[in-house]
Amino acid sequence: MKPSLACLVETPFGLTLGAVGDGARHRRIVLAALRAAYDEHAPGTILDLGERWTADDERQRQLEVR
Amino acid sequence: MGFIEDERAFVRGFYPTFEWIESAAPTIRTAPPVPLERARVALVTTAGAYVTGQTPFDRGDDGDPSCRCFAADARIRFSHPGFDTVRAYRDPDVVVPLVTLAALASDGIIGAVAPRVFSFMGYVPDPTTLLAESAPRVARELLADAVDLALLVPA
Repeated sequence: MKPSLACLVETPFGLTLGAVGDGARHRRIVLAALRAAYDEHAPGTILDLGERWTADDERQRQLEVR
Repeated sequence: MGFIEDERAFVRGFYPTFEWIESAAPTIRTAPPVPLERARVALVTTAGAYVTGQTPFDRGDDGDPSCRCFAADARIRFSHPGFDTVRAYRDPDVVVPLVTLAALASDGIIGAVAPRVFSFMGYVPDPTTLLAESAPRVARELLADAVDLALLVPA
């Protein structure tokens, strides 16, 4: 699929908006995505929100091909 | 590898023959009709969320293209083969941010949270029914709920 706008967060599967209990990060990501809908972007833009997972190597382990 | 390539390799690790839909053109952007502080915001999730009394999503190899709809203040359950749902049970906002949206509404940053949540389960290897039936139906329901903006959160 190719939505008109998508936001990229590099977090693990099942923790899209951040860690359990990390309400500040959940809010930051949701608000950034909502505000992005009001900005002009070329159709099909993937907007990197700059969110990275640094707590451990879970995301990388999830992505290892089994 | 980049992010997209990482994700593709991950999925192919489980499903070597999986094929993604390639859309030639992106969907048309529609600017929200009202400012964010007045917008009614709907949540759409692909986390396999459902509520008691509804049939859980089918976690089998054929996937599940159906949709569940529930009230924004409902107690959520999860059925999804693609991620560990234990943490989502501990804090549903990691994939279904209804507490977050309610707080944004309470703080006046968004106008309101739409009354209904629409939930898919992200593993749909054959999207024919999803594209022809489930997704258009949800779009019509979102219009019926007079939403100004829909946030789709994948899991």
